[in-house]
Amino acid sequence: QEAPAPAAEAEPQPQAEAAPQAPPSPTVTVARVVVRGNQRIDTQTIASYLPIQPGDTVDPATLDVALRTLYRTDLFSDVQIFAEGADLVVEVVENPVINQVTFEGNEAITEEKLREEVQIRPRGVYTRARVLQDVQRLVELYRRSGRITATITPKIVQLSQNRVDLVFEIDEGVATGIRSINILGNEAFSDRDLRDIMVTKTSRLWRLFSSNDVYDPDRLEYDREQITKHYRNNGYFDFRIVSAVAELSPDREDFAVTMTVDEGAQFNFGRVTVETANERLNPEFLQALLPIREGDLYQVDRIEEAVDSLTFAAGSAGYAFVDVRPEYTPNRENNTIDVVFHVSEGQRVYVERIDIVGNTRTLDPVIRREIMLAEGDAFNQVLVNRSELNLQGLGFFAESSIENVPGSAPDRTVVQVQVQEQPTGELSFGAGFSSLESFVIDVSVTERNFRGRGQNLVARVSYGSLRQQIDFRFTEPKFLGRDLRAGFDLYHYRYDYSDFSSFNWQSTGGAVRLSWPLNGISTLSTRYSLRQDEVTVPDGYCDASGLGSQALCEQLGSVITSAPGYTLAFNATNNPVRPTRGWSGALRQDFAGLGGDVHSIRTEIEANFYHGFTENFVLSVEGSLGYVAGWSGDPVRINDRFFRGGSNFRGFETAGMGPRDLLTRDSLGANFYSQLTTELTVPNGLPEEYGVRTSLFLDVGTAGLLDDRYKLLSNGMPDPNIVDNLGLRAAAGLSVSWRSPMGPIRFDFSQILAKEDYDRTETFRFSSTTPF
Amino acid sequence: CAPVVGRHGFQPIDTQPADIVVGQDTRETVMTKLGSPSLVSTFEPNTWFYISQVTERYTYHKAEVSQRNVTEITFDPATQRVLEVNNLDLEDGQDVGMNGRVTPTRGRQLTILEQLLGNVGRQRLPGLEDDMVPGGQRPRD
Amino acid sequence: CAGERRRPRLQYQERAVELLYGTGVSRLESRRWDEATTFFEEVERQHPYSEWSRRAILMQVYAHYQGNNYEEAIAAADRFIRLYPGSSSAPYAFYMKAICYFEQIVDVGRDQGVTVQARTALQDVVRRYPNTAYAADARLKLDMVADQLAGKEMAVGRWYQSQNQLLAAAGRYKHVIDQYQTTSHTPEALYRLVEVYLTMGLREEAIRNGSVLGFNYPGSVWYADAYRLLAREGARPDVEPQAPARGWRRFIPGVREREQDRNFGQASREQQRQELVRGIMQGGSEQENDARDSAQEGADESR
Repeated sequence: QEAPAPAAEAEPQPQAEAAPQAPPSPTVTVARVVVRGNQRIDTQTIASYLPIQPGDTVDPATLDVALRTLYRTDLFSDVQIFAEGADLVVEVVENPVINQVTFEGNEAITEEKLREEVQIRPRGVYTRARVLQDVQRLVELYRRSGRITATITPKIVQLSQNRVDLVFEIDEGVATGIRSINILGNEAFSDRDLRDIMVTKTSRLWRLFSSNDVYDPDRLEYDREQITKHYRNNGYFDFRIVSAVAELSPDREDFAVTMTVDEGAQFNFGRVTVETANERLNPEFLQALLPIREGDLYQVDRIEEAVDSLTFAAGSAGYAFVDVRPEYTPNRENNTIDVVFHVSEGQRVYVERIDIVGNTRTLDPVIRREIMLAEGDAFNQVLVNRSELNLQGLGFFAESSIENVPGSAPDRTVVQVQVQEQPTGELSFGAGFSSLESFVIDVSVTERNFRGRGQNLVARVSYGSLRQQIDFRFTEPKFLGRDLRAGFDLYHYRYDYSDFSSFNWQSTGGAVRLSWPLNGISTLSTRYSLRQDEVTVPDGYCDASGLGSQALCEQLGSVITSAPGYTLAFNATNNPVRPTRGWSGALRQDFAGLGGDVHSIRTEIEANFYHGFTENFVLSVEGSLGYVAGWSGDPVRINDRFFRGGSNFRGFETAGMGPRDLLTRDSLGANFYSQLTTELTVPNGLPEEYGVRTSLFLDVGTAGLLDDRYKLLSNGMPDPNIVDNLGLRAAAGLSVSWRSPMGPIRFDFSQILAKEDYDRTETFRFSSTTPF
Repeated sequence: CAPVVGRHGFQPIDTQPADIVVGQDTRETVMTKLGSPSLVSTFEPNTWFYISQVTERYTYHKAEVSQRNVTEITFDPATQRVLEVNNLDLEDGQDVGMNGRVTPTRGRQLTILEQLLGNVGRQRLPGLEDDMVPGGQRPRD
Repeated sequence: CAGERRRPRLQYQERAVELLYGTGVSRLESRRWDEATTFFEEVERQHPYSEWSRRAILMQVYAHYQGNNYEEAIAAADRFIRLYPGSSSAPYAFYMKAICYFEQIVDVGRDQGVTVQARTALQDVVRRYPNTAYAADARLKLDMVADQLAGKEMAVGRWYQSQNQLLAAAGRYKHVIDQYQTTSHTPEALYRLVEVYLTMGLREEAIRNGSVLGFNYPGSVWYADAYRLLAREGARPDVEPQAPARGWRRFIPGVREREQDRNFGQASREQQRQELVRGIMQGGSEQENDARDSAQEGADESR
């Protein structure tokens, strides 16, 4: 039933009696413009789109332009323009309006995700082109999630008032997994090594959640690049992949991927020289900078490093516009490659402006200070690359990129810094259970980009049976606009050591800290901490009748410690989080006694070496030494001494090793400790994504030395019950650490090799250490 | 220990700005020899400036300007020839403290809660998401 | 808990258009914006060809705007403009689109992308409908937008100056003088140039900028400072500064008002929105009746 013609403004409908005459003579003067067939769009709107006004002369060209403008509005499925006598008639058929968009037949992907992908919306205008685009988007979505054979057909359901319902009928087809990946022609590296590098994995049961075990041509292409890069970094200059093919199995269930490679010979570097036409740059000086020596194994990454260092050297020597090109001459007899780096003068380009775009929370200076270029400087790509690394180092952005946009003059460029913010704040509730603390509740607020100024703020409350803690930390990374990290902490700890040493210790205080880099690998951080410690014991423990150990009873009550200190840290490892090569070390010293009641000097030295035989077999040797001594006659208080055992010395209970009062079986803590831990990470066969690492460990060390005063009875004779000797303790075992969603969790299974008879040991420990 | 050296502004290649000869060089020859000027005077288009600066930064100290040369070249508007070349270096400059006043601007500030927690209650799951580089790569921890 | 707001879902069943539209308007009056938008969306979906759907889209723009979800308001305004470019309410749609961008402008420390969008939308309003009340307000807002963009340039310039990057700072200040002379930041830009050039030792250039500042803004507090700086240099610029009263003289009645209106009145956000936007409601009511009559006529015609 035809809808009633709505709008009052619509022109009265002339009856189209005469069929339209022959196509209009080339030019017709238009008396009136008549619009027919429009329902929703009013005539006035259509007329306003037409470049023709009543009284104009019209020729086929303007007609054609009018037709095209009307089509471009996407509002009409069909448009006819012809002359009827003196009238110009515009006959339109409007595109229907979409009433609903529904999906049928989707199981693998939720309707929510499909709806996000589709552009066409209810109440929007239906056009074939837009629907086909959406179909293409849906096919792409299915292909990415591994259903290559999915087919999608759009269906239209006509409704009254020129409206339609759009239905996407989806036939998902079957998930095309990967049955096998085999590699032919590889001698240097085993199939297993190469498969480890590849992202495409064979479909296995435990890879249920990962989408890497479904066939995806892009991913295979990416794998080819990875493998080529791997070979090129191991001397195989001539390496190439002959073919990488995925054949669908007869039952169309999954694919078999076969890759044939041609390794070629392994090359070393031959003569590596630098040539430059510019007299002022002397080649010998540049030659010395090259990170490549004759005879080294050929590695493509080293070439990039060399280009980088040459450009940077020329830049800092004042030659900003430098273009470095490596030229290879391989000679096949002795498998060496001679490389010549041509350093020539590049194009003189200056940075006109640096625009920062996309920072919805981080303030402009916080980003701009990471960019190593200023406006007006000479453009230098190496500095741009390093600035990009700085931005990623901030950790505030999901993506950050720096591009060049042509400036207002040929020798000017605009540097555009594009960032996409990511949430940097976390409000996390944690509940943990560890053999040590029975039950821990943890509420913490962390914000790594506070007020968009890059400041770091942490507030945490944690309640466990052994330790209750309130902690507040604030750090400004660029204090006073300099490369100076300044911050302060406030904390209140309460320790209940009654199971181990029958005293409770409460500490409330704060610290201010300031740290700065000395050179590439070392940083010096200074601090001043002021705290009030209170040691309490169960009542009656220290009375005359009580059997309390004299070492403990003497230190009840509260005391103020005011201690400046410093830490000199070195880190020359390849990866600060999980080092597999290099060494690191630290020297920490705190001088308690600048005012306050406590006078002691506490020194700790630590040195770690890492060597990864392969990616999975990493040997780490960590040595550490600690000594605390009172001065100006003061003894070392119990809460300042070292308590070894538990998580820092596996195999022994917390404070399980070191001087002890046999009578009360309390651990008294030690003034000195030393330890050597050797750990070998071994592969455990589980896939990398699960983040499970297993390692064998051997901890060897000792702890001892107590102020003499605590070793004597009230009458001055040595007290037989206080035992303290620097005997050797050792334990070995297996440690499993798992990066679980609730944070890292560690299981230690240990076997004691050597101990003192009075030490307390344990064979199993489970602890979750939330990094703080 | 060695400072971090930064070279900013104009970088001379062969001819130095100081080698420009008064009366001989014209606007075109200066353009070819030195390239376009770092800065043109705000209200006097016939005055060009070439400014270059070297800064040195020791560990945590602020970057200090260790060397600055500014060359002011003025052209005769009629003949386009160089009228005057004026070279200045660090000593000619003087320390003019920055005025603390700022002209006010509008715009919605971040509310305290927005600043503190861009995303209340969002728990960041390490490493298990699947949105990776083309077709996916082993998640880096 | 910052999850997606679930809007009341109306089942997809057909209902009389007047009923839907009427409930929508009543929801608007009771300030329940989300429900109002749902009803108006239903009107548009079920009766896309009726005069009502044209009115409904406008009402959606208004409701989304009041509910502060700017993206949907802009989308609805765009839809109206595409479908009814010639209608009498088109200026309102253009104006609302510009206002939605304008109210999302953030402080100068952050990306001014929205500010640029606001400027284009405001320029649209002024270009298309120059002699409407909307254009008058848009011109005022355009000045504020230009001021905001100039403020961003100045903030970056000041940062570079504080880092001893004088060339970069001078570039930014010159950019403000070239592009944004009519904003309230020009005096400060000129003053900063005096500072930068003096620091570099270019006395003539500093004096040139100082005298331009004096000539154009003799009463500006910036010129007073520049004058003092240049006087110390022994270069006495010809124009005496008539800086505004300092210290206690500021409390004399006349003086304070002059300071006040110099930097454009800060009409409070709420009052400003009501004043202009309420136009749709009064305007709305008479357009509503003519919509109802035309629907009535349409019905008579077909009988």
